[in-house]
Amino acid sequence: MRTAPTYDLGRLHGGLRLPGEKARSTSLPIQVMPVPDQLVLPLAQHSGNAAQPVIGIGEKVLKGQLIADSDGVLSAPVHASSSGKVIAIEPWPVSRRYGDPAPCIIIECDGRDEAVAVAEPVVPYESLPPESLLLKILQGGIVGLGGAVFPTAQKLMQASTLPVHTLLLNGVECEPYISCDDMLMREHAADVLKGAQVLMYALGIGKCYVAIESDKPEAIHRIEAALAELNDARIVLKLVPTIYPSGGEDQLVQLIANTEVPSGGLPSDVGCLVQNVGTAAAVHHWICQGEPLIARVTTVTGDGVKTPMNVLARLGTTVAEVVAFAGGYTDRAKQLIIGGQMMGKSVTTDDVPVVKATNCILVQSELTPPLDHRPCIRCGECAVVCPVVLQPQELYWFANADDEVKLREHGLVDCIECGCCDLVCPSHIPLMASFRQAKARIRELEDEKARAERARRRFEARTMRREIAEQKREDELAEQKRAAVTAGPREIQDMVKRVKEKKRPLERTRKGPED
Amino acid sequence: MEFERREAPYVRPPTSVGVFMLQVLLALAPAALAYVWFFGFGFILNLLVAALFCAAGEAFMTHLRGRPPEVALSDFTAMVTAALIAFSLPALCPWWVTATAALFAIVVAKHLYGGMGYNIFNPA
Repeated sequence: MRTAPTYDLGRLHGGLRLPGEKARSTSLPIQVMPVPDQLVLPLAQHSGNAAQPVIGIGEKVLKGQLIADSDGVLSAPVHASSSGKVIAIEPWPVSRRYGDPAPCIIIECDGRDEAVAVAEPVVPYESLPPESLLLKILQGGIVGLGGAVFPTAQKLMQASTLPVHTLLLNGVECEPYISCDDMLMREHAADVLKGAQVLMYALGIGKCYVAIESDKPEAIHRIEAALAELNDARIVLKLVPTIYPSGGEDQLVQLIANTEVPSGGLPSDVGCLVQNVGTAAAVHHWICQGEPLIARVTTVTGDGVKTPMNVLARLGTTVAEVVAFAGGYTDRAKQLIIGGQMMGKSVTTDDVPVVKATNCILVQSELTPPLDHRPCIRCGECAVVCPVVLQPQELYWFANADDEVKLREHGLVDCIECGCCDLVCPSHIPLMASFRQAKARIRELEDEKARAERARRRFEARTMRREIAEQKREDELAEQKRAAVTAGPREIQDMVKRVKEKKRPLERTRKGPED
Repeated sequence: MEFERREAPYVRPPTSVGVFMLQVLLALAPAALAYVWFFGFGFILNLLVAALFCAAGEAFMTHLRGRPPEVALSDFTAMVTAALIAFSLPALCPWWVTATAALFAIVVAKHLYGGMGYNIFNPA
């Protein structure tokens, strides 16, 4: 029996039971989208620094070729999703900036979808030492596909410095409408588990839990079958109740390992590593099959789409093309959201490309009603549902007062921006938006403080240098004065003799030609 | 295709202050029946008078403060105040006592101290 008992789950505070809305997009198997005519690949598809292009305009590229390399410590490379010619490197609307432009590499596909020749043949990962395996993962452009797109190699490298003993595979997918991880587990369960094995080898982890919400019976069934086939006793399936947001990293650690991640800390601080099932599958594809991250499963759903479904789309396909593939817009398409209904991004245009972070394309048939927020009536509903056990009504009060000391005391940095408090507030206060602003404000203040501190240190160093120079000059002057005062008649005679000696060589040379 | 931008979460809010206050009134219904049983129908008259004067006071004060009165009345907080006043006074109280209490509660204790959410005598 592969399923672990659920009575030993930790307790999650708060959270909401939301209507899943997943049935509409899970009736069809994953549809593979054809390669489009044009691919738009943003340079910043991950958190951290944007990648830097390594190819020029007019160059021909092949599928899987490196087109932008990682820049700095926290970054990830970008690969071409198909073969073609680079026609431009210019700004294009991106979902990361809600439809505003950002630098992208635009490739015109030649239709041949030729793969790049591998520089080194694919070797079994067990033959590589773990450190070089981590470097190899960096080169594959793998980032967290759950939505946060944190570069996976750097996350693993940070975790490798701490004693991590449990890998949690996040197949929870608690947000309404999103079903891409569900379908991935149904159709590629083996890839997910093999990716988990690679990760366990890379960090020397001895135990793995695959966490799935109890409302995904088919995915549970397929994972169980794949586990039986794989026959790896270290990997166990664990079911979690269907509560939003139990799929958050810290919440999952609380549920499965029954440990609270410390404030401002990471799961690796308590010995756990959380990875999305899509990320695990991507690691498997790169390490075991040599294919870098160039495509992902995306859910296209909502009342505004004719045929909701899950598609396997190449990165760089525009959302407009994906929606057209899914039957097109209905006549009730009013709002486009990249992401889920609670934490997604509302974008202004469907020209934005599918990127590594695009887990869902949600077209809603009604615009969110305009804000009519009233004063806080201190009902406390927000504190009841907060999964991080914060007090949103207090945070809102302090955020309005710009009191960053109190905000830090009350734990604003731990807010995961899930939107639960926002949903239950009877006065319709935009809590999530105000917390985002407050966090940005605190970061700004910390930046200013750091800069002021540096300026102060430079000023103090400069003042000290000046003082030292000043002191030296005064000492020299005092020395000279003392020397002048003590000069007697003998010193004056010496000086006169020296002057005469200096003059004599001049007199000799004047006699030159007659010598 | 172009779209408009909105703030997350992209859900129609499932609840409102009005719903909360109606739940409070619903919770008071059994107590109201018990009151009528023990003290008579005067309670109902007090309730009506208090409701009338609370609504009038609320409409008047929000109008003075430059806000739309329908918004303030739609959240039923004035009705909850009226119900509590009726519960606190004797059933055979003269109507002008109830009326004065209602007006004082709404105008002085609530709006002059800041209105809903800011008045120190009642958090709602």
